[in-house]
Amino acid sequence: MISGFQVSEGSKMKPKEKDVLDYLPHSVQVFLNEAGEITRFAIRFFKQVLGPPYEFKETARQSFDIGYRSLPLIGITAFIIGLVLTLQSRPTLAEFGAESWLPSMVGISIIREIGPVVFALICAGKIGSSIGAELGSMKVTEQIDAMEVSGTNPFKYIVVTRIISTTLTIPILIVIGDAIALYGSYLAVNIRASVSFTLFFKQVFESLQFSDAIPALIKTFFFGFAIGLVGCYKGYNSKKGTEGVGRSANSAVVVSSLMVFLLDLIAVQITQFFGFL
Amino acid sequence: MNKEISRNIRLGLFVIAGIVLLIFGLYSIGSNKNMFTKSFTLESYFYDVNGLSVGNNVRYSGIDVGTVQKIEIINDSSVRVVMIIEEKLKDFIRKNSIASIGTDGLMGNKLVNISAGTSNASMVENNDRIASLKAVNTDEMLRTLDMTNSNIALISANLKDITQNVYQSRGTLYTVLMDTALARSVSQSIRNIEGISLNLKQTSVQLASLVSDVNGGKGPLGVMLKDTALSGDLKTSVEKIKEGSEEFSRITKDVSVLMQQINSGNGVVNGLLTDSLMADELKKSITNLQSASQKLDQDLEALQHSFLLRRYFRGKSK
Repeated sequence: MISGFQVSEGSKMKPKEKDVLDYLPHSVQVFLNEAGEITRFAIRFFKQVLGPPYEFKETARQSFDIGYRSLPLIGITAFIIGLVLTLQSRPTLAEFGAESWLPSMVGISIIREIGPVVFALICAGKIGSSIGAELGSMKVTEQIDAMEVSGTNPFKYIVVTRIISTTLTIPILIVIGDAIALYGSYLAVNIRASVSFTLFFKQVFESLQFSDAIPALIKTFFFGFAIGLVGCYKGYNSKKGTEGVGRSANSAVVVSSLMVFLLDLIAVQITQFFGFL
Repeated sequence: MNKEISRNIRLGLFVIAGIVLLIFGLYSIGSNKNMFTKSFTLESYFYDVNGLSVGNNVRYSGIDVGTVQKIEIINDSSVRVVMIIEEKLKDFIRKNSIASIGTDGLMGNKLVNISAGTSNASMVENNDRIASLKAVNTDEMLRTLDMTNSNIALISANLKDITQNVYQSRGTLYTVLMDTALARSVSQSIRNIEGISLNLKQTSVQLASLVSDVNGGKGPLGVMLKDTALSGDLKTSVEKIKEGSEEFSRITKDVSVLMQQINSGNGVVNGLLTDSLMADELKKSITNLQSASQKLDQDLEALQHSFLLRRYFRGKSK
């Protein structure tokens, strides 16, 4: 550590003389260092993901743990979100005599924004923290070092498989979550009114465009990648014993949640730029 | 079952469920945009599309049958709208159908309404162009309403002045409006008019019946107007009357000449008419003639009883 500048283990960043960055506030230096480290971590991932050996079995196992096991949580949350969103929106729409727009409004809200972002945040909480804690404990118990010694590439086996799993399974979780949320909305609509299943979903899909669904789907891959990347980075670089494990899990959730919002903002700007909004 | 196989099956189900839902969702969106049904295109040219955008619905008889595929400006007064319509609608949309831009509800999306054509036109084909109807422009409508409001305000102000003047002047119009006796008179007059109109109605019915009879050739007038033989007779009669009147005219002319001659001449007739002496002489002569004829009659009677001619008269009487 030089003049309060935190440098993570394995980093080659060693400033020899005072440069312009030293004049930045400490928190800014920490933030920028973190950003740089994550970028390098991501580059390392892309370098290793393409080359053999391919850990399919481990990727499938991680997909099961990350994706399948998160389904109940996402399912329940999605159902409640659909239900509550519909119940809350109804009085406002009823004031304008526009209750028939409820399916369209809820459909667009869930597919375009609420589904991807809310479910990604839930995944960031559940999956990001579990990856951070798991990799952190592996780090502090020196299992990662042991793997290296045994000739296994720990980065490829632990990090690449998890990031691939989150990148592929979180979009699936979000799609299923969207469907469950819409079903919850359908039930909520039928509490006060009587709308058939066919009519409800016809109204939902009538109001939707490909420009709503496709950008929303694409950004979920980025959310999944970000959650996996941050979780793995935080766990892989954990230190200070068991305390570090908790801190890794916590910061994995915080940073991956922040990343979800940042990516969403960028996605909105891009879709707006291409005229989809 | 092996734990790993069980996990793989569950993971497979999870992934397949996600992919199926995704495909179903995208298919549903696409099918609403007629991407997976057989379709054909129609185009129409509008002066103003009023905010219509690509993807908006196309309706025929109130049913969603397609979507707007393309909107492009051709020139400063023409916008080309290309629509994708379901293939099966080819049997219903005619070449003289008219496209118009409307709104889904009061605040809904814009859409294109295609009206049914007339049965004398043939069915549309792919890439056909149909006529368009100028859309109702809300701004223009509001401008017109604004102008109407101004006019109404002006009219109401004028009306106010007029009513004030009527009230203050207490003139004829005031009397007409306010006098109850006049109102009663008017009411009575209206009742009278009603009675007259009732009578008129009855009369008109009778007249109609009369005209009908005349047309049917009933009654003298009908016979006169409708009987062609009578008209021929009438014509002949008129001609004869004409001839008679001409003859009469000639006779009167001759009589006039004769009278002139009598009046101016010294003949016997003139003497008879003008000479009283001659008239007396003539009167005496006539008296003498009468007396002579009586005597002659007596003589002849006596002659019949004479022995000379008695036999002759007896034979004649047998």
